[in-house]
Amino acid sequence: MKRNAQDFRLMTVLSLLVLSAAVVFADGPISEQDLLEPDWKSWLTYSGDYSGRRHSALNQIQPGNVHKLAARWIFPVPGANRLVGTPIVAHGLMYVTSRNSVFALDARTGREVWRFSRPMLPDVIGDARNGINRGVAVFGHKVFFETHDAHLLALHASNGSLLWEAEIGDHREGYGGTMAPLIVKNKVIAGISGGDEGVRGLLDAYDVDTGKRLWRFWTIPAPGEPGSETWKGNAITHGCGATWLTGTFDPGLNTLYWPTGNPCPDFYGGDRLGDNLYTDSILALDPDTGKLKWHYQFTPHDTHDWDATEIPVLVDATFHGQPRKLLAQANRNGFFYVLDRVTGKLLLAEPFIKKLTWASRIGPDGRPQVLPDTDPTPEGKKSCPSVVGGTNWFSPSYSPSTGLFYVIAMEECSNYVSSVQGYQKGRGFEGTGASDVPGEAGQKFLRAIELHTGKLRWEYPLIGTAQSWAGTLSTAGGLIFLGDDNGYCVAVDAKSGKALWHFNTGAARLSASPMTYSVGGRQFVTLAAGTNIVTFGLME
Amino acid sequence: MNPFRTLTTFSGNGNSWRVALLLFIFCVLAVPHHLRAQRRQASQSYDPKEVEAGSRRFVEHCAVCHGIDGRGSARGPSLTRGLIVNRGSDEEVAGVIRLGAPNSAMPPFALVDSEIKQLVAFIRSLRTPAAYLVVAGDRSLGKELFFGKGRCSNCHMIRGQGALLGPDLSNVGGDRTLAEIRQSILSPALSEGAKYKGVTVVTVQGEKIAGTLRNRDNFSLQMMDAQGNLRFFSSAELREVALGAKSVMPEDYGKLLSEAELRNLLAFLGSQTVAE
Repeated sequence: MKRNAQDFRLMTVLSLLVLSAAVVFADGPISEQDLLEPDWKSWLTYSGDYSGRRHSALNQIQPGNVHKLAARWIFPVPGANRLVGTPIVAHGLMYVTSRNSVFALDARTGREVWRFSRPMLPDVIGDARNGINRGVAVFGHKVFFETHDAHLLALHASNGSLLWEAEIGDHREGYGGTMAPLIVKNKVIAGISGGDEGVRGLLDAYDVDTGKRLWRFWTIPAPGEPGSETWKGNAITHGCGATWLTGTFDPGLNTLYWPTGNPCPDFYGGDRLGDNLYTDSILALDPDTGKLKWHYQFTPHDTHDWDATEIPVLVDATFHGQPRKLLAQANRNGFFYVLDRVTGKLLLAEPFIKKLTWASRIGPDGRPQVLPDTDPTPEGKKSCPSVVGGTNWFSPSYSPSTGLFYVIAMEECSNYVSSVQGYQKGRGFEGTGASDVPGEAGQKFLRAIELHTGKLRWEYPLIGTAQSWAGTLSTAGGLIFLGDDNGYCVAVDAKSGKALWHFNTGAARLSASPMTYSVGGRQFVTLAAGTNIVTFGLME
Repeated sequence: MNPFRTLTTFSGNGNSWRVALLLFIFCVLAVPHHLRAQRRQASQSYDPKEVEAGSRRFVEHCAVCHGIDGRGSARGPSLTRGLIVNRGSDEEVAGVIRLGAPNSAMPPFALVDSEIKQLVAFIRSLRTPAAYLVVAGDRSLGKELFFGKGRCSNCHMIRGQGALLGPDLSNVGGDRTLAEIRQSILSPALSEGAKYKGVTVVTVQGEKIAGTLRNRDNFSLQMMDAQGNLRFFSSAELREVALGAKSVMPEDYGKLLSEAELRNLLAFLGSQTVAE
């Protein structure tokens, strides 16, 4: 465990003198080095590390012994209705979040050691109204958490005491907090929800010590600013482009990669003619200044609610014979993209779903070749993928040893309906919506996609009604963990996709991505399942 | 898709749906005593014109979460289910629209009373279980049809009478709207009962078993065989699983039944409830 002795409180130093130097305190500090080079005993960021690969170096649990995996403990989260978060583990202390609440647990037993909770406000709208929360960030002795009314809080790691608080956005304007913040270079990077509620999207950086805002990037230009020419009509002032999924970071290139959400109104494009920058995009930002280095827009002028809020996965690999720094994303619009993350240039775009009717291909200029007659209409227009998308925010993973990108894909279409809608404060700003196609059921698949070709290597079909929202985890043990469509936590072989282990968590609908950590030399796998945190370990 | 699918389905039944909407059974089965008086009062307000106006408002304000047809989407629940929509008074439903639902994504809507009234009328038309309506038709003739030449009871059971292959219909009037029952009869592929697919499995020992599916996931399968026995298997015990593409319910009842027979059958099925 790397740490700076100066960071220790007096108590810790004294204790260290008394106890063995090998003792690691559960509330010990997290350093920048810990974040840059994770030891994987801890799980320190939403995706496990800065790359977003959700691939752990832990290998104790393997295809040969995964049959001995069993539930070790269950923590029923008080007040939860549907958990979507990834637990964070730092030195054996696990943090889980629910509706405006943080719970700190002994990661080995699931026993609660402190909790922080704040009442829900009645006038928060959108996803944040439900108390949807994807987790915390940790740094030093602090835990960072977004409340549902878009405030960023710093809590003491040892007892949950409130250290500072900053308002990211005014919840009465539609802003909400649902995402797990990211710590980059002594800054808390924090985004917002409200992407169907007419907010002006933004991404902020705050000083970890004081909560002072250091920079802000508006994802929607103000009228007259560069980019505003891509908005013809009145929607620009409430154009959305929310930032509710944790991005990734390349320390070598000193670049933050952040995905943005859909334009508003979601389904009616008549009052926002043009590409609608910087919605449905990846933003490459300088983390020191918040300045934009480049952007790539996946779905220009989106009218199907296809946020680009899927994890931008950073991979260094030889690509078509050349060593490259890559960014891979399976996008909600149904295409799997590989970009050069130095320049933002598109290298590859291939469909990863079969039901894809809105575009024939992504052209050499990086723009989709949109097919006619696919826009929503007042009467309703069938289009594929569905409003949920070819995939969604739940995490994919990438294994450097197989070179495969693992993603939960969905084959489904929707009927998209549009109507003219003006913005009204405190209301959704969708321009109507989408519904299931009668008699057509969707289906989910775990798909293993070759990074270099975008082609399908294998797939594992998920039997069920396609109502789950669970993601994947890859481990150096050669396993992919996932939540399936019937409440099972499943382990499949990373090479072949063969199911090797499963456990029925009892959750009607899984909505989170698994993670893994190690305490006392034992590897654990955890999944937020329904309203419970369920942790698995090998039977002794 | 026609955003007014549910309504047009109703319209296909001539005037009976209007009659049905206007004439609630007042001794509403399974509704708590304190709600019954409110329901009686509320039932007088469902003018078909209000329902139609409500459907347009619904598309404008509600459809983005609850779906164009009110049957829910990834963002919000179906309004054909749930305690308040099913058991609450009109005022309670209106209150949720006006104030939002605590601890949920449902926001408050600042609409005028007449608009909210229209929305309530539309939402009621979506979810009112058939047993709460007077359905035009002859129940006793419908019963004869069900157990006789309609051959419904060859697959379905009501209060212990009939067969096991299809869904039990003892509470179909308490569970389903008239439109849903009608759809299940005329277009079974679109109905919720469509999960009762035919299935044939072959075990690793070579035994071939045909029947109807009850449930299935990646690791297990539950079915009823042709003899009416429940059979449970783990996936490892099965060599083959052949799933029928459709429900085993015949699709030609629209041709087999006259309009009068269909009305009688709906009147009989709509009155089936297990509530005291």
